[in-house]
Amino acid sequence: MVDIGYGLICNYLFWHAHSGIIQKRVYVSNEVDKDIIMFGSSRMAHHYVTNIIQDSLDMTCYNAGEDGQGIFLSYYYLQSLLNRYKPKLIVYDIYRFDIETDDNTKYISALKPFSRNVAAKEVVTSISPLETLKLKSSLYKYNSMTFNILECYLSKEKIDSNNGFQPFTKHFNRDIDLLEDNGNKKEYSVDSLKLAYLKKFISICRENEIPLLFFISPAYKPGHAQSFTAIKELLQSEGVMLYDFYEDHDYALHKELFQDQSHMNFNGAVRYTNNLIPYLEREINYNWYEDRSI
Amino acid sequence: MAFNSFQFWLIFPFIFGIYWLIPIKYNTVRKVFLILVSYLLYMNWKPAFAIVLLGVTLVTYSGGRLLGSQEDIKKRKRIVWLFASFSLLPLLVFKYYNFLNDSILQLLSAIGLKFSLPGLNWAIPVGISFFTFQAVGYLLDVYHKRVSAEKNIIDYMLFVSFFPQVTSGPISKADEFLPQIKSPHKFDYGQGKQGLKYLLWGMFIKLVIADRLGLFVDTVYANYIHYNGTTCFVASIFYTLQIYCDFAGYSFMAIGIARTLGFSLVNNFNRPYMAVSVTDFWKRWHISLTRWLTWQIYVPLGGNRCTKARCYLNILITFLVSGIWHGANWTFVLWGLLHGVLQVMEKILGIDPKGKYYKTLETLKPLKPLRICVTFLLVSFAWIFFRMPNIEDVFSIIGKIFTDMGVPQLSDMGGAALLMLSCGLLILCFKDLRDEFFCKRFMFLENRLTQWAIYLLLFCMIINFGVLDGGQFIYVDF
Repeated sequence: MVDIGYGLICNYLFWHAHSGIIQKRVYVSNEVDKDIIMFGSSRMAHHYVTNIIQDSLDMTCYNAGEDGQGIFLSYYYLQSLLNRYKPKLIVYDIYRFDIETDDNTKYISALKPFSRNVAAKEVVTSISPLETLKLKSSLYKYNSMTFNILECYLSKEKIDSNNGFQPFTKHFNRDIDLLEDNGNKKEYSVDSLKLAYLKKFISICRENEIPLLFFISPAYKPGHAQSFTAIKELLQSEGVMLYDFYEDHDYALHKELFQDQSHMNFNGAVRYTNNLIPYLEREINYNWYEDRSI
Repeated sequence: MAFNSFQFWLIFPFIFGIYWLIPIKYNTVRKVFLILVSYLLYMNWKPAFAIVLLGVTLVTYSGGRLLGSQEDIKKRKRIVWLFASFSLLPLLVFKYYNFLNDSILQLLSAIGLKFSLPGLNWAIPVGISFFTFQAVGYLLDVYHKRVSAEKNIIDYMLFVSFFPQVTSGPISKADEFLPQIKSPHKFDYGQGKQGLKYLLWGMFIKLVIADRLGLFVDTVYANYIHYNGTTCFVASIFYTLQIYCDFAGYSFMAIGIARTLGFSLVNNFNRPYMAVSVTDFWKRWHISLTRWLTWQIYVPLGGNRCTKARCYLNILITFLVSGIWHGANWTFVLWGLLHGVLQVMEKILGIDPKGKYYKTLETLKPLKPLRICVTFLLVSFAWIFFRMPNIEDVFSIIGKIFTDMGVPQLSDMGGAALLMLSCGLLILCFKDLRDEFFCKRFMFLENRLTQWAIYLLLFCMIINFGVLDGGQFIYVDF
């Protein structure tokens, strides 16, 4: 009874959240209808200034990037929005953990509240088959989210003011040069499940004839990212365009553009987004599925 | 298979049910069933590990049998040395080979000798430190004639491999656990209920507190250069709480599971952070290991029945062994030695429990909170050695704590996480303080309805606040 009662309350608060990450997830899942949708992790959320893209391309745009998330949540979002409409362009900021093996159970949290959706359930159960059983409990479904849900429901501030873009405005006051190199030091292995969902993501875009672009946005001290080789090989074999700015000298080692070793600050994001516009324009104008053999 | 995994909780009702359905007159069948379950659960980590467990079991069993049939002192000594060495060999090879290899190579390199031996890239069998000490402890008890040699291989196999304790303790003594294994027992509702209470409390402090703290501690310690010294200090306090809740949580779960099956394991934790001295701390922390080290290392060295200088040396050696047992790294060695040094200093100052000023201090009740705080800070400081991967990082972080003050950067934790953690810590503090100082107060909490409300609250907090994805016991690496 406690579980059912809690579930009813949390369900209502979750789906009626007014702000914060909960509101963003519900919006992307149920409401977004922009021409350009951008997916990815924190590097998408903090690097791609949607207002610049909107103004430059005269198209609506939404940045669905989220800290700590990647292909699993993006796949669910894609499936979810395709139930309502077809975007004119999808942009994905890809990073090492979109393909490297790590603990996939940490990605389940964001998807659990959406588990009634077929795509969300598919992802969750492919990561952990026993989730079907566990998700019978509302206390479990909203695990670690109670206070977040309350905060997002009660707060009036909306994260949507930048169309999903989350600028870093605080100055990073630590000496960024003391930070470790951002390159891969450890050996890595490709996660077969992430790889499978990445391929599915590409395949769905192809089936729906939605132009799809991948970017690797800049890093402060790039180092040698071995897993990017695997990403590039995969995207090449799938016939998808990838633009790699990871080691671009216009950004690397430019302290004034970075919040930390992996994330640009607002100045960096503005410069980067302005540089992206020609690539986005070209992709929109390109007759994607007739002119490019897959 | 970890106790906080969903898979374990799908399986355990069957283990419980089948165990108690086996009639009491077939006690041997019950024991064989538990051995099978224990080995299957152990093999879930990695099947090959079971060979090590079985090997240590058989070697110490054989050694015990030989000792039991041998009266000649010299021969008994040779037997115990031989079999103890064989039993400790897997532990030395799996856990310490690379450490010894690297240390020796560094030493030789420092004096200009270049020499290399290949390293081992073998995974360490889970719980090897625990079950090896338990088995070797039995062997030494037989040698010292504290217990008679166990003849029943089934009983002995269960003693070593009993699944609630094999991966992370408590380390049981033969004279307290073997008799329980031998005597058939009926299901006792009271004992079962006690077991479930231990289980619930263990899961609560592990999942709601330890794992939540771990998210912040891991973030700060992995990138301590990013953070100011005050944040590092907060992280070190959090780690102090994390390791207690993690290890005690596991121990309570192990005790709880064992109780539901009718077995009583030694309580491993007795509110260690309420200790008034480091000596007192070790009577409350990892009690089973302290007990093992006392009986198998400290007492045979002479204990305190010798000169003061020798007694101090015995303490240092005992805690050196404790440090080494905990891990194959110089940080653990220093951690152990630090605890040894602190206890020696307490003895010198006469403030240990047997010291000349102890009773005086005990009468000065207003001093008690200060003594507890000082002990807590000393132990927290020592935990930095335990947690960091190398000595350079230890001293870097200590240096930061004392020189780089600032506002604690807790934003990385998130407000919601802090709130969940605060709820958990409040409950823990209330319970431990009540049990330590006010056990006869707040008696309304003993009311049946209140008790069930508390159980329900803890259960809901575990499911809703607990870190249910990917948490793992710290001590399972030992």
